Amino acid sequence: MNTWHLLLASESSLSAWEYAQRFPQVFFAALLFGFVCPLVGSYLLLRRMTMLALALPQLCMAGIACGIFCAPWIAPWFLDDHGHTHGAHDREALPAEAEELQSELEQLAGVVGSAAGPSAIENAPHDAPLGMGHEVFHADPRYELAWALLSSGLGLLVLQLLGRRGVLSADARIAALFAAASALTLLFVAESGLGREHVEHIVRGDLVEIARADFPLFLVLFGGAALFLSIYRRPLMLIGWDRESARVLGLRVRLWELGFSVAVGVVIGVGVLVAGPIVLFALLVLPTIAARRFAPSFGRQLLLASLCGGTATTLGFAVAIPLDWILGPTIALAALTLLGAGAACGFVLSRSSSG
Amino acid sequence: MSSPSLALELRGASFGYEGRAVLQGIDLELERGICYGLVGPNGAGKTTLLRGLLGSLVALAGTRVQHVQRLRYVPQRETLDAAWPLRVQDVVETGAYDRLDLWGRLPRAARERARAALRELGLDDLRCRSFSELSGGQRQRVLLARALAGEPEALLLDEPTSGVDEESSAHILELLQRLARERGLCIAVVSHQREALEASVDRLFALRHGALREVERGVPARTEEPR
Repeated sequence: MNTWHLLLASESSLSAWEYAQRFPQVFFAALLFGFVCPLVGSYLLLRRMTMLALALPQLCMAGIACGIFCAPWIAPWFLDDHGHTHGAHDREALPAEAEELQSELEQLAGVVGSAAGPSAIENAPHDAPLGMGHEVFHADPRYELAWALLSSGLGLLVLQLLGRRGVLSADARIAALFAAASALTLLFVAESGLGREHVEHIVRGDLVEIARADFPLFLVLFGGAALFLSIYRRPLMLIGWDRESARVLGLRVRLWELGFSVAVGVVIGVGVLVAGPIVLFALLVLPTIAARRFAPSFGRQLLLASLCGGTATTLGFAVAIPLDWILGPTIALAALTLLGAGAACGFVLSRSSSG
Repeated sequence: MSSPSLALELRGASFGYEGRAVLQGIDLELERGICYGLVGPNGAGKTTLLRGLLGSLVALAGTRVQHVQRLRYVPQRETLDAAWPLRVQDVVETGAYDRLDLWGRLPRAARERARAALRELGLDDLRCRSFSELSGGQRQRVLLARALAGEPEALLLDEPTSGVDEESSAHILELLQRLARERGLCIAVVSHQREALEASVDRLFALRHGALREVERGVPARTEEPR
């Protein structure tokens, strides 16, 4: 049982549809995540920067780990009087959301005072990422988000500066960034002694983490990035495809690149927190590749990739909830299935047209 | 006082990278209605000169003056990544992306201009085809149509006949001549194929040892431009 929400769902044998009705913020966040990640993935794939989809989430993880490491000095209110992190066990009252859910659970399944249900609810922290056990860093998503965004922004800035100076090839720069980020993540976690479980939890990734109170922020950040990448696809495409001509045409290449970097940084920074680096990478890349075969134009590429990501998310939801699978990896698997189906269709179509 | 037909001007310009000059003391005046050829062997600094003329490289010394509003550029088609899913129509429309509105939309007039450019170059039938599926000659014509979609006053082309068969190459150069004469465009073609350019351009310049000088017409290539 990976999370509190899933625990409730499985205890009461909720279907995916019932789950979506009871936890709409989780469903809509997952759906939005599925639609938006392939937009970013399409740009990265076509700019031949796919490895950035792996390196940048890892850098965000390093940023989050750094934030946890620095917490005793810069954010001590996340720690208790004994120098330990806040754990879920020292909560006195049930969180309001948990009480509401418990009541729904009782109504739905008639499970009153079952062994697993209440204990799970009691262990649930108030309006924070769920599923954390004892002695775990009490992570405020906004604190972690700030660190994730800061690190991804810094990473993109460093890559741009090195690129401008012609230091190493693009591949080598990204590979070095990935290696450094991985090493820093492990070092920060090992040295701080705080939040190891939490960081591992983020790495494993699970889309059901999002709390209702955080949903508006998620919506604004993800929605804003998606709108920017969709509406301004024409100048962004031209700059990626033929930068020199874009410059000659008078487009403000540096300004557009800055906007693009911010959008990518936001989606990846938030995505790491919501789904973890592995699921994020899968949704950045797999729907994008699946769509590439069928997209005749760049606009269609964005649309098809986005639809493919949304479909993968819905499929993942429909399978993971009733089967009690971890949602994030199930969505990644659904995206892989769509990619396979797309490749098979493409193969059949090309055979039939050549035959 | 500069001539009213002047499109681009370099006066004692030096261009290079990281403070090191590749080309020095370049004086060049490009006028409207004339088709220029800029030739030189590989590594002579043709691309550097082109980037200097485009304004992408800032002159280390001397000045660059652009007298026209709409300068357009036709890159080497090999530098454009074929992985991008772009139809011919999409590529041609990018030539008018300086007219995108606040919401990133292309105005109807610009779309129609792009369509007209496609027709003008005999590419209307190919407009829904993928750019990456076209032959070298067809791609070059598409890139030319893209430049025309921007209603240029001056046009700089980088190796437009490289990797193109002889017939297509002659057709492209003939078209450039016609554009210069009939529309009064200033056209400058950068190429390493001197023989191909010699018969098609109005004035020919050669880059050698970092300096630019005009080639006397009819002088055999062997004596003028060792290859």
